[in-house]
Amino acid sequence: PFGLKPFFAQASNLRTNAGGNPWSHTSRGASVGQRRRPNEVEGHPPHLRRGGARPGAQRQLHLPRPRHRSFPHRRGGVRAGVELRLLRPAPQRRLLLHAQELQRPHLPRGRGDGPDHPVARRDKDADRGDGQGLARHGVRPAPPELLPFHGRAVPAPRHGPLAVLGHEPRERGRFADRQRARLQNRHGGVSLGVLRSLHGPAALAAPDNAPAALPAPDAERKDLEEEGPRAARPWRADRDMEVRKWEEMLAVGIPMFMRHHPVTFQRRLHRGVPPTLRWQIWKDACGYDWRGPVEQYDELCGDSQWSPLIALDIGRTFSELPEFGESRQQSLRRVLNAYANHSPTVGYCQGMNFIAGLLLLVSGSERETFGVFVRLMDHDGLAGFYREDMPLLRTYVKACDRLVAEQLPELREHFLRESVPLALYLHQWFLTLFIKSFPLATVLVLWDVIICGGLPGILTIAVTILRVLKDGLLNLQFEEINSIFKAMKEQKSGEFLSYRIGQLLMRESTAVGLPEHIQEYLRSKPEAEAREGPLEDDEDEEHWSALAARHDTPRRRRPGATRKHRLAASAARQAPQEKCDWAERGCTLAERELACLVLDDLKIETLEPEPDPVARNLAAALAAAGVCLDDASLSADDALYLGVAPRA
Amino acid sequence: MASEKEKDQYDYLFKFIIIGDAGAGKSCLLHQFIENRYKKGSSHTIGVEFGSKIIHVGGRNIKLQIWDTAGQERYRSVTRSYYRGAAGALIVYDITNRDSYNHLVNWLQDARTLARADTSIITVGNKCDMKDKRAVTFLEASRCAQENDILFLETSALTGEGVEDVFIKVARVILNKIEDGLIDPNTMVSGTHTGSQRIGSDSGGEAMSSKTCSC
Repeated sequence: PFGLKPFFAQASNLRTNAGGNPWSHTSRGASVGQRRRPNEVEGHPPHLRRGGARPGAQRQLHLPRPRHRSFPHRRGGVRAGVELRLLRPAPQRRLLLHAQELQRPHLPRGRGDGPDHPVARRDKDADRGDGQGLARHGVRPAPPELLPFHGRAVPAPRHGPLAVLGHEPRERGRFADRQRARLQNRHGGVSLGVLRSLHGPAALAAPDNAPAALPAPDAERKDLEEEGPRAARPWRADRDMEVRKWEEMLAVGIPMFMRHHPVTFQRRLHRGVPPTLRWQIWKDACGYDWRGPVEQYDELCGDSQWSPLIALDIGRTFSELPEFGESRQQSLRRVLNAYANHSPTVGYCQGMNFIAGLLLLVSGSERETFGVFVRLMDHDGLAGFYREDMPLLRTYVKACDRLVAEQLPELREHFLRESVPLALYLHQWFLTLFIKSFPLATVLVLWDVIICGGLPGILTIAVTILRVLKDGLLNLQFEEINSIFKAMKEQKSGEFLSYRIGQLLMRESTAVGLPEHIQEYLRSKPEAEAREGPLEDDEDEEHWSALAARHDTPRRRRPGATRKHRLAASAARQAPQEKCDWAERGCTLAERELACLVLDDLKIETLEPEPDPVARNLAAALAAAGVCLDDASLSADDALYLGVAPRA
Repeated sequence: MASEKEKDQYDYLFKFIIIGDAGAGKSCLLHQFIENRYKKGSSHTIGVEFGSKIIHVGGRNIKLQIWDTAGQERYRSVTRSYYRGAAGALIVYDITNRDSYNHLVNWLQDARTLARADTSIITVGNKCDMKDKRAVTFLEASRCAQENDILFLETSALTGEGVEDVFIKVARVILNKIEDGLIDPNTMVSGTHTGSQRIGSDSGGEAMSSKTCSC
């Protein structure tokens, strides 16, 4: 049934279409499908036929194809169109996928509609007729050798029915690279589970041995020789691809992509944004506009009534960072004054300096920083945190309390018993968007999610952090809990691990989600209504249960079972501790919990050899497990990519 | 371990709150008291921060739970709830900054209205190492404190001068009030409660109600 005739027939058809504007018809060429509809390819089973009313067909018509992890052959480009005809999954499966996409509750947030609609812009560009339209947007047409009638055999897809017909899959190439990198990099960086399956358990046995010395299967050996030890630079294979993916998304427009491919977007986002593109992505995601207040920046950045307080605080913002020197401090002063002049009702409030400061660190451009800052404050509602009486803070703390009560009830009870006020940690987390509480490398990953996914994401992040630390926190008393929260800012384990922890936290956060009734609470609680009174007031229980009943969302479970090493780690926790002061112990525990997170990711199920029960920090715990992931193993090149400084 | 346990035992638990204008040096004062060293390059407080230390006053071990608040006026809405449980309040101003001294009245009013009537209040003139930049004289401030019937001391969080005295002085006043029967140490609301060691997994819930003296 999959003879060559229909394949070529369609391929030639595609070719005739290739000179036109593929974007206006989608990569699969709607016009092709429509033209062919009267005489569908005979002999194809129904699910392989084109045309016909399919659910979701309307939606897909003018959009780039979604990429599904399970269907790597489904991607944009002419060649993909050729493959798709033969390999499209059954309609039922497609329906299911769409349903899954639509059910994602917390993404996306629509922005960017209007005359400047990215697709409209792109189509216009592509129509200029110079043949560069697609290239301008980072879309490459299929290489000529992959198109038929070039005197070559048509390469066979590596999967699906054609592969069975005896065509040899291509040994290497974009496709193979992609597949391999996907395997190695399922979670954006290291997956030693895969490494171990490739090289055997010896790969993890001796921490001191460089993984380069490990026996590698033939297929991988060449790579290892060329690229050096994979375990030392596991993210490398993925690096160019990540950048390419994000460039493609930028070409489409982040809000646009986010809206139409929420699942893909979320997955990529949780891996962390390539640092080289971070600022562009943030600008695009938050809808930066060079007009409006940005145009008036020069007039706005003069002194305001808040200048004395701002002047007091700029010296106290990122004072530990050498990058935040005198010139950045002056930039920060101007940006904050400009915002105070732009929005006198908000003016300046402590905490805003960290937000603007981090934006300055990432962007390097004062004017753009101001633009994005205004956008975050006014459009995303961050200003509600800093306005008089901090109305939005109240709302978010209550929503977070509720979320903790639903998802981590035992932890909430423990906190109540120990009289740990929510404000002790939540205020700092929310008012500085985690900057003051976590290492910067972690914060950047969290911010990727907050800026692209919207402010409610901070609730998910907060609950995820508590969830990860839960086992440790449950054994602690008030003062130790306090020191854990303080100690998380300490960066004992190096920037790379902080970055990894950020990624892993974000991956964990998919298990938390943001239930519909919490979202409704956030929507239904306009700032003006926020009540007076202490924050710890219990929200009306009836109100909550009514909200929850209206949206009966089942609680999501964390992917994967609790692993043995968690037990091992908790046993280690309960082992008699050496004498140490509270802060040190708190730090140890926080790090150990986070170490569990990393170990979990690495699929290390047992800690062999058993880790030192008093392993003091993450690096030690990981070294005990044979994982060498410290900054010292970063090359300058990779460090540059990750945006971290390699440790000498 | 034994010495550790002994160290962690206390007879009373006092809650303190530190308030005052932004930049007066509240966090540095607390850090100096707890760690006995100056905190360099610290950033401003967001919301509240917490620290604790056990001191020895009048033959008793007293544990101080100290809540350090953000100074900006806008944060009053979130720091307000911490006044309620405080047995002692430190109002900190900067002796080189006349404005922070002028705002003492507002802070005092806040403390009087939001905290309990029997809360012991002390005014602390911080940064007394910067004598050449002094904008508020010792005499003026102490007279003001006398008028308002509150305690007064000058300190330097940088050098540590007078820091411990502030806390000891307030603790002693509270202790006197307890011994005179003016404060019932067994009520949580008063910001003081009697404690015993809080080591191990038992939370102090029950221990609060029974006074156990370990000395």
